Amino acid sequence: MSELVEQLAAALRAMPGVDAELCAVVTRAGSVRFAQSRLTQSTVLGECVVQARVALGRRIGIARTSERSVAALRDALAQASALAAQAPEIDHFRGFAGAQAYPLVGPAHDPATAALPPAARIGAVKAMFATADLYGCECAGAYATGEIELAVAGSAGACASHVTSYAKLGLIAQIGAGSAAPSGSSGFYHLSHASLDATALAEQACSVARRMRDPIELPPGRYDVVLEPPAVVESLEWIAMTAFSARTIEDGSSFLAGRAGERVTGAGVTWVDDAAQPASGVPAVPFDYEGVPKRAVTLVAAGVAQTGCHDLRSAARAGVTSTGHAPPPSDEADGPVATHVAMAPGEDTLESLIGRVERGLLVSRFHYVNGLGDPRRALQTGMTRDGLFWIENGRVGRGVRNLRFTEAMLDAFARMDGATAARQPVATSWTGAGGFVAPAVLLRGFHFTGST
Amino acid sequence: MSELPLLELAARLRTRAGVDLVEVRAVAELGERIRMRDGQLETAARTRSLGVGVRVLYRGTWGFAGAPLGADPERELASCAEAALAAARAAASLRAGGVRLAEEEPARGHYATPFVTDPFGVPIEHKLADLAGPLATLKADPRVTSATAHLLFRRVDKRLATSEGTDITQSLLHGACGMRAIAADRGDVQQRSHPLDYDGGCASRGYELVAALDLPGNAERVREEAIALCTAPVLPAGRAPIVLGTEQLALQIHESCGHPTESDRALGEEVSLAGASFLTPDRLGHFQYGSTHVNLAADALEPGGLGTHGWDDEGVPARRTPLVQRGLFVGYLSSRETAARLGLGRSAGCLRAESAGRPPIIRMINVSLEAPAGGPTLAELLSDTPGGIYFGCNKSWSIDDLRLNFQFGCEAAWAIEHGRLGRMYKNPLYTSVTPRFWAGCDAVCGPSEARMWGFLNCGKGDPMQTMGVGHGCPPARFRDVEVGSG
Repeated sequence: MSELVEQLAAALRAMPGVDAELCAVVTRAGSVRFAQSRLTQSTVLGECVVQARVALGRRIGIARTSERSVAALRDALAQASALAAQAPEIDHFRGFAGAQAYPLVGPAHDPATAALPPAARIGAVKAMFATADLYGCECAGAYATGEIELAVAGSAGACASHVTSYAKLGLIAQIGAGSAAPSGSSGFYHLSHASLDATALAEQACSVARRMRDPIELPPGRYDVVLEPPAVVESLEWIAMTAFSARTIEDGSSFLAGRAGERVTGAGVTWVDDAAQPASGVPAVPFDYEGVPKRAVTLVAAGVAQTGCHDLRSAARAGVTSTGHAPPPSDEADGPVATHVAMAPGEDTLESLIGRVERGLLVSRFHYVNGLGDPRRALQTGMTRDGLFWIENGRVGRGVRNLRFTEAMLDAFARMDGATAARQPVATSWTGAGGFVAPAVLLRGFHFTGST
Repeated sequence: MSELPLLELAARLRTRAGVDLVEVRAVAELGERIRMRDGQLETAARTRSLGVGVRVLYRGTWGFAGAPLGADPERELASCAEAALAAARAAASLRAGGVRLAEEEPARGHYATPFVTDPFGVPIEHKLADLAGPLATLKADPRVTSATAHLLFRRVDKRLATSEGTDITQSLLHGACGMRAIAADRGDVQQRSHPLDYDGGCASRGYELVAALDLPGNAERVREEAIALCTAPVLPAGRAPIVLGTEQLALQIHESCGHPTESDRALGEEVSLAGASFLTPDRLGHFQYGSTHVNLAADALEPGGLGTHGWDDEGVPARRTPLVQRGLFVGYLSSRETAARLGLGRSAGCLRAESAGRPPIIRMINVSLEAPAGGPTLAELLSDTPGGIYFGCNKSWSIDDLRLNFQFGCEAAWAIEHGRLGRMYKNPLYTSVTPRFWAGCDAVCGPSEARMWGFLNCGKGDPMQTMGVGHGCPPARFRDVEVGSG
């Protein structure tokens, strides 16, 4: 057992007879940020949040603290008890997690990445600056490394700890500094920094930026598109947020609600959340923030709606068992979350997808997508950025000025005409230790509705 | 917090070779969140945290470290300071340096949010009752599949000490309360919220905020509108004059004025995440942002806003800075660093951090649209807008990386018929380009219609930070806008 989970267990032992659960998340991280090929921020962060949940029968109180000493944990438990005493009973509570058998998981932690010093991060950035200079470009972005330690202990028997590491880099190369400077992007996300090739990432972004010079303008309309993995993941993040939680299925706003077994999108689309065996270097996680083992959940199989993700409480309401998708301790937590969604690969290469497009667009990534307009259709709107190219007769041509899309994504994926065999892991903006994995896809008749 | 040797630490670290400036910020936070759903308690949670953040300027280069404070705060403080210095030293080795700061007098004093009722002194059962009543009204019709009501209060006590001699303390109180109904009928699912979705109505106020938002008085309307939306027509596509309700205009200001006037964006420093800005420095004082009806300012002195404080997180006192005057772009949200870089003379006092563990970055404070004396009431404005569409309560938002092309979806819109709100539309949206949109602003309601709104979760920075920001505004009208439905 880790020192952290020992501390949690000791605090629980100090309060015998209390029905409680303690969950601790400790983050140790460092990052550098840069713009116009100049460092703008160098940061070292240590964070700790411990959540105490106490049940008095079916009355539950919650208290959180940033301190992890046994005395502080006991105080949090006492506060949670006081809140529970004033809380009304809830209908669906089957107790905190008991002792569990956790799945063997894939790789999750690289000590060297977790302990990477500021100078090493800056070394990688230096290599990118040098490469960008050769292309006449400037770099903007951030490179972060660190580790997240999770521990859960409960009076019902749960006792678990796990550490994940990560190296996350987002890079934009720009030509000039004007507000409409041609730009390209690249990114890296892996549990280990070892395979990060800063020079190659800079070359990739700079190459796109150079090809984006003198972009043409296109009118809004329907175009066949090849979406590269970052664009697919941005869309998939919103789908996960609005559709894959049991909470949104309960209230009817998810497109999975009442449609299990129905075809909801294209036959080539399979979406699975699997934290224990994620693909492509995304750090694996064996249990959730309630100490429940992570189970793989098939959300959509070959275009057919399946089921959503559960935590203990939503599972109790639905009369099923938790799938291990409890959210991290936070005021913002609102039901289960899918943190490791992967889209099944296809059989194509990026070149073969592009080769099947007569007249269309290659989309590197999206910007500021919002998927709250009509979640039952997965209606989304957003902009392209950092690389949008005209495709004609299967060949990539000139850069195109950015366009806005407004599209019901279930319909768009129903028009999917191929996906790549290769997939890319992408760090998501809201999933903590998770990450999504997606191929590039070809979607026919994608709806662009405006331009800048 | 007063017992922590912050000032001494800052002074001591300043004596190290190459160190130009040290800022030490200790933050203690107390929060309480209560959320009810469908007659059941969902969450009753209290949060306490204590942490420190140290920012060091070393040979013209910033370094930052943040850490929680626990059993041995003096040792943890010292360790955090060393980590910040190490981060700055490492950064100074690569194309950094050159940071200059606009002058600011060292500050001393204390600021506290004024309030009537301390929310942490209100019994839990009282709070539960305040939510349970409206919730029962929302759920009174079986077509409402889910109803939620919530409240949140946070008190942030912080102290900033710097090697320049600043030593200030603040006690900031923020609150939020709201409700939402989701209804399902005849194959559709729709939602209505009051007064806004997500955190609801947010302000720097005490528990009196809850009564002011009047959830009981609005619950029946919210329920009926959610149900009616399921069978309402969609808004036909076309162009029309639109009136934005004050709650929607607040988000319009946030996205299309607040963010593009952030000076770090204008200088290209945010480009990798949220993007840049069309309001580039060469346009300052020359660019016509909107019509002559448009007057916008950043003001941390406005009462009740989430951007209201005594000082920002580098000790710049609360002040008012015009951003747009009679439609002309005239000012930026700035820090001491960007004020110096842009030659602005002094900072607008906008450097703020989410918590002790995050570096301060440029954030909105209260960015508000001036309500002109003598401006029309909403009723008068509607009477003067035949054929128009009224948009209320945001549902979705998206804007491009230069803050130009935007598209907003709302929970509902209404045809303006015979001077009042008529037929209700579902899934309405409007879209435009920022300067074109604000150039079409031809009427702004008067002060009696103005209201201060707040958003608790404005996201920015890397690592990501969320921040509470305020926006005061009355309803306003915009000519010839593209509208439709999603």
